[in-house]
Amino acid sequence: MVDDRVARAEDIIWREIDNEIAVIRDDGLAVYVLNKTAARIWKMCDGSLRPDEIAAKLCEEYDVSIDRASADVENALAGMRAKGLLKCADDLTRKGTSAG
Amino acid sequence: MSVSRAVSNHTIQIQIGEICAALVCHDADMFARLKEAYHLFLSDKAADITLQLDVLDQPGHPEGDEGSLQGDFLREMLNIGKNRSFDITYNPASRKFRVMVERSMFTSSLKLRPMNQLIRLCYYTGTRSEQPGRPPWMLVHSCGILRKGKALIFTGPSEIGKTTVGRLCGEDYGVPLNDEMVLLSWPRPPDRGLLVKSAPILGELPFTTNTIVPLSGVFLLKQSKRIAVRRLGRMEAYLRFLYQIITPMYFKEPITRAIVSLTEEFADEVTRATPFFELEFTMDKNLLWEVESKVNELKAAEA
Repeated sequence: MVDDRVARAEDIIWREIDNEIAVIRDDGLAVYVLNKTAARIWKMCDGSLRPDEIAAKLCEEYDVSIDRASADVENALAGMRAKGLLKCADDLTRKGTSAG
Repeated sequence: MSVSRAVSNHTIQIQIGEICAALVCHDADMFARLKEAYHLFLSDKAADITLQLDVLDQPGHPEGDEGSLQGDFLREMLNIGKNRSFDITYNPASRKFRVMVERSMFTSSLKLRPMNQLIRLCYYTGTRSEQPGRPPWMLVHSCGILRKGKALIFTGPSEIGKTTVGRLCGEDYGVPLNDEMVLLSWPRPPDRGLLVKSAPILGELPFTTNTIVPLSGVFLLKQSKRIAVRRLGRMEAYLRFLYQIITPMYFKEPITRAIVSLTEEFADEVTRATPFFELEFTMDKNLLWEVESKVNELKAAEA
């Protein structure tokens, strides 16, 4: 079974400034800025939540529909994955397996 | 007399931040050039680190070391082409770098500027040997101007105009500390003020003074057809300043997470401690200094 909980990649340094987040690859060569919504999603990517759970939390925090929140989460995670900022599902599965 | 330790027939000792580096060169011509270039930075303290520079007249592998060149990993960082002979070794026990390099490296239009990256390597290596953890000063790619007992620093990418600003300001309005890099402290308690220190880093403008002064302001440069200044938000200041911090460099050590973290923490703390401004500038030095009153107005409004 594939674990779809979302976690930040390990080779990442990030800094929250004024509700936005700067994400730096640890080679120092690439820096990405996440806006307020993406920053909130990023902070929930601690390996404990699935995308639908992140969307549900966004609904609680902001006055948005679950459809809108789900779309925002999907888009944000897709962008983060494309930039290599998130662990892939296989990483999480291996970690879970090795941890027993 | 203490100066005797700072200069001998083939060794000078120079101060780089808290570090005293002995530069050893047995080539008379090269040694005379080094002594002249770094005369404002001579130090009689005990050397923390040594850089021996062996100058080769002929291209080709250094004699006796064929096949054992160790310098390739540093070529790129030191911007030394593959076509040039270059070797560097480091003995951690004696804290001694030995660099073998072609004389032609120092006879181009760059003059002695290839030394800058070796000075950077000595500074960060020596600092880490003396006091592991954060270096007390970080090198920042900038032009520093001494004015009214404080330093303004103008920073931005290469070719943005740091030297131009240094020339314009240096004529009537202030004294250039350096048009290539300055040493900047971490914010210090109790008021989180910062200090700027001259660095023995060679730019286009000659050294005119070697001093430590409080930081007055930081300007990120933008070439323009008008003079304008605006206060930068923290995120923009952080992102733009991050790229102007000279990353610590160590022998045979790639850029690690710890090094990137150190640089990132410095950008965060400095931009948290002091306001950053973007300066659009032209070649009109009189107009350039009108920004000073504008900045004071902005600071007063915030206060």
